Order: sequence, then structure tokens, then C-alpha cells
Amino acid sequence: MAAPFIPPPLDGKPEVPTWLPPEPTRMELDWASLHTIDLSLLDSLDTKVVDGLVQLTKTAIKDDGFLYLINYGISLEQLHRQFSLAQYLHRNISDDDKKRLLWDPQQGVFAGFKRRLGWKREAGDFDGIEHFNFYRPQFEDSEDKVPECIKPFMDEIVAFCEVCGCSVPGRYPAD
Amino acid sequence: MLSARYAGAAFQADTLLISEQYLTNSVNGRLLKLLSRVLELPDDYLFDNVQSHDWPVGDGYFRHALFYPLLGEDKERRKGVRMYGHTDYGTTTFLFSVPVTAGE
Repeated sequence: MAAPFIPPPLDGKPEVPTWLPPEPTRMELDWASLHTIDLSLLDSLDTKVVDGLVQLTKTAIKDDGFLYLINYGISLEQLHRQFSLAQYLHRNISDDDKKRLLWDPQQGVFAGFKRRLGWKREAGDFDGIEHFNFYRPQFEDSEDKVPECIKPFMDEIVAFCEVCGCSVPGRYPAD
Repeated sequence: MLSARYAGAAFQADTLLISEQYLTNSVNGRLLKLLSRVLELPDDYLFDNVQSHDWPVGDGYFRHALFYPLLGEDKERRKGVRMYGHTDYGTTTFLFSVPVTAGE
């Protein structure tokens, strides 16, 4: 069985407003119907259950091209904490940090801050997509390479990446 | 709309124990194990042979993304398309958009 994910405590950190998920659309859309992959079934001691999961995954790869995973070991509440942190980062990043940490994707890496102005360092047309991208340097030197406002929460970002699979717990620099 | 994404997990694996922990406990490790079985390969095959093992993140990344609405002229110019077609590099990409039901 997978060990449960226990994120770091929130004691003594700035308060982060809770992210409120938008309402699902009410539009009539031609939805793609994806197969549902219950990743927890991989732990089953019943080989038939595991075989069924493998066959379903095979079908999803062939027919859908997307894997819709459920029960992957992170609760919705824990996931939404990351969304709250993302919202906090984008609401509180200073103009100075936006300039200082501006990305340069033509160097081959998307690390840093993406403005809502296209996919180059230089401003292009509005695309409405803003990012902050954490790559290796952002974790190794978070004192210098992440926005000031998110620094108190790097332990939670590291823990989240660990459970996703960035690294083995306990082998990551804590700051 | 906000989304978080995580891709191309990587770390230095120097003991079997670490490999076992990874395949059992991390989302990516379990997915690689499942995909190895789909390919009728040993459980640790993709982890051992495809996954980059540089510490701490290799070529992977973690992203906090914020999507603003496309309105008026911008919406028209982009023909209402949020993200144009693209291919991600790396072995796996996780898009955590629940409960918003959209790829990106």
C-alpha cells in the first residue's frame, strides 16, 4: 500500500485565502468520455483486479490518448491547498520579482515567470496565460530564484512535488 | 482558472529501497509501474530505463498556472482557443485541473 501523503504544517505562515473552484460550465458541450483509471487498484492483492486495471489502461491509451487518474494518493483538499498557493503567488508577486524572475524560454527552459503575453521573454500578443515555473534552480536556490511571497511555502511545494514523484522524501533540500 | 502541473519526475536512485519507495509511494512511480505492465515489461522497467535520475528534478518542473479569460478582440484573434496544439517533452505530465474538466 502507498504511504499516505502528509503535507507540512501551516503554523506560523502567512494566511493564504482559500482558492474557490469555479462552477462547472452549464454549456452543452461535446464532452470527451474518458475511461477512469483508479490508481489505487494497483495495490490490490487480487491479480484479477490488477489485470483489469492494466487492460483498462491499455484501452484508455488506445482510445482516449489521455489517462484520467483517480485515487492517486493526494486528497482534493491537499490538492486545493496547492491551488490556493498558486493563487497567492500570482496575487502577491511583486513587479520587481516579475522583472527579476522573467522567463527566457528561448534558452530552452521555461523556468521563472511567464507574463500573459505569449511564449517568449519579449512581450507578444495577449494570451491570458500566466505561469510561475519551478525547475531545478528554483528548488536549489529558492532564496534567490522564487518570488519573495512564496518563500514561506516552499516546504509545501517541495512536499507536493515529492509525492508527485520529483524525488524521494527526505532527499530534497528543505529550503 | 488555475492549474498546477508537474512533469518529468527525476531524482538520483542509488539504492533498490529508493526505487521501491518511489514505485510504491509517488504518483509518477505508480503510473510508471502501471505503464510498464501495460507494455508487458518488468515493474521497474520505465523507472530504470526511461526516467531521468538526476537529482533533484532533472528536466522536470512544477508549474503554477493562471488562466485569464480571453475576451473580445483577443478571443477572436485566437478563435476561442485557449492553448494551441503542442507536444510536451518528458515521459509523463500530470495536469491537476480538478474539478475543472479540461485538459489544460
